[in-house]
Amino acid sequence: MDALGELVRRHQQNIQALAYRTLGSWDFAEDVAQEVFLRVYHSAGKYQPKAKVSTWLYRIAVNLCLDAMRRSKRAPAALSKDADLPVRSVPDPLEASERVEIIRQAVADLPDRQKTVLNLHRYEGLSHRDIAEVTGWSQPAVESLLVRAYANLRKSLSKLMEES
Amino acid sequence: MQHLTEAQLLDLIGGHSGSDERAAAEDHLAACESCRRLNQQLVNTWEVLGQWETIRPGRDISERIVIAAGSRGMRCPSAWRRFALVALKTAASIVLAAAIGYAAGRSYRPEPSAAARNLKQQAAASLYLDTFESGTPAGLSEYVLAATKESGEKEQ
Repeated sequence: MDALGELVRRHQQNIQALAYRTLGSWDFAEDVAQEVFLRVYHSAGKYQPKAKVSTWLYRIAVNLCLDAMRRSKRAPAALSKDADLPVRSVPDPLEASERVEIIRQAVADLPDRQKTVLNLHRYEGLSHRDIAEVTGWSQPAVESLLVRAYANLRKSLSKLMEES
Repeated sequence: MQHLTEAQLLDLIGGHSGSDERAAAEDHLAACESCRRLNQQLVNTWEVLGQWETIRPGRDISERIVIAAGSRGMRCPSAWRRFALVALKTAASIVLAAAIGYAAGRSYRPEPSAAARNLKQQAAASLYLDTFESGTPAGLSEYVLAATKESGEKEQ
């Protein structure tokens, strides 16, 4: 149990942030993170040391998030719980929160697979190869999704980019 | 001159290119206006996306997870026992129902309904077999016995 606690403490921020960016709700993000670590705890024997622990955790988290997004398509608005809860840090809070909201919305509007690879690339700092390993998609497929995701964001965030 | 692909530029911006690749890409960018423009657009997008911070201070869920892991682990055996008991009861009910059904089916022979009798008679008549028709399986012998009795009476 101590080992589990240590594992959670070490990786919970990244897993929760990934789930939050993908699902748009901290409540869902916490649930996903909890499920990730419980699955790890109950199937620790299946861990293959050739993969990094973080890759394994991301993989479970990505699959849970994709499942949740699929379910939310069948039951709309299920994932919009605290989507209007932008997050802090940066000088002018009002302007910053507006900008964050625009970015959050632009990312949320991406198709599921593009959103997934973008979050792993931009916010989790994974290489194309690592993303391929986490998602189980081929590296060319990941690169194609990334290129399309950034192209879509260039369009939807063009105003913000001009201002900056 | 071979241009850099967007995927290569994204790898470069993400800091995942090897030192040789990075040097070659930077040489190319210095010489190629169109790649430089594309790279600048990607860098701008990257930087704007970086304004979305999601640090949620003070949320340590490790304790909650450790508790959940413990309780889920303890719940499993009794849950499994409950499931096994229900499955056993269901299986026993099915076997018992099948046995009762089989026994009842063997002992119960219903009388044919009036409609069924009528239909049977009609079918027999259409084949000119109505004289053999009888309520018992030994219809023919019944007919023969009746016919014999009738002819005996006539002879007398």
